[in-house]
Amino acid sequence: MERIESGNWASRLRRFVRTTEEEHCEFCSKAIASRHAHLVERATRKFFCACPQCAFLLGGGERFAALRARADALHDFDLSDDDWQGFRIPIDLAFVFRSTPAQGPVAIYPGPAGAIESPFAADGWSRLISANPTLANLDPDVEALLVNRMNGAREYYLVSIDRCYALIGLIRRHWRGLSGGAEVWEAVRDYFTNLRDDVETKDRVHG
Amino acid sequence: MSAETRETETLEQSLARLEKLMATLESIADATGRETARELLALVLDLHARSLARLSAIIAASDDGAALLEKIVDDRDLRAILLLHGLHPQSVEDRLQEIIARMQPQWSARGLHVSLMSASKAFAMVQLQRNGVAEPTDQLRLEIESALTDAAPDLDDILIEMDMTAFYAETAA
Repeated sequence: MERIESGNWASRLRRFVRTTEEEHCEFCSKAIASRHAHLVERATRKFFCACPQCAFLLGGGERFAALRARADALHDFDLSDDDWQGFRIPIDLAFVFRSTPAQGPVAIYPGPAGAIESPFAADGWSRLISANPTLANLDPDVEALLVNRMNGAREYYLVSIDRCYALIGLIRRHWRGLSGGAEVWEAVRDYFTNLRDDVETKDRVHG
Repeated sequence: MSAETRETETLEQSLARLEKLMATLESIADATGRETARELLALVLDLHARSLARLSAIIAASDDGAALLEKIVDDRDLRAILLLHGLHPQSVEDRLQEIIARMQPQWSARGLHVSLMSASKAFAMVQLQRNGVAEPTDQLRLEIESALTDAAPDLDDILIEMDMTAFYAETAA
């Protein structure tokens, strides 16, 4: 069979013409604005687009949680290098959130094939919370502690979980070879630059 | 571009030009012009999709329909258009299994084993076992990726999972 050297061209062409199409609430099928609410199904971690009514009715319930945009920098975060080592996360980039189905904290970190997930030791999490009480307010399933300790950085953020998955997706798309390659770490740097910008913009507006 | 050049253009050349034109359109500052062009393209594609769907249904329902469809998807230009409109008679999974089965002897000879783990409408995942093969990972990934995307250019993404245990053991240590 002869080869077509243009990758996933059919998927890209379809997406290209589809961008003007209306979006619909995935619960009641009503047309919704391009900026709309999202719900996360707690058990599957799937994201759903929702109209304001459905988001209000279903969000915060047993099955779904409403996603709220959040990006806060935690400036005086208390976590020693030894404590971090103790969490046994093999790379210096991870996010931790409280998972309702797992009934406890879960850590997710990027790998070449996508997200790698491991349960986060419950005692380690309680120690983190007592050292950093603001973590106790993390909304389960939708908000996460994002840790960036790469190349000597010690950055900690409270962010909505979609941002964490965006980071994982970004890494998956750019990862090359065994160690990721220069391109992927550049993309990660850009991600954190954007995140810092968003945090600052918000601080200027509110503070 | 003259009609003559258009007729002699290969599928690859057309797709490359398509890519460029989409990028050009994307960069046009005039939003109304941009959206009108996009809508026009969507409409023309849609008209073709509807007719081709009916055409496929008629072929499938006729005597020798299956054999005829097989002959049609053997033609690469026709296959490309059927894939674009979601009308290829084989499912994504079947297409990927087929290409993997066809490539496996070549890959096995080099100590590689590729297996399809999951395939959905937008996304497929395959596992690559390297059994200690020392070939550069990027090249392997690229080779497998392009073989698979050729069979399923309608997927958003194909993920290749590799045996990374050694890598993580190293980083953790």
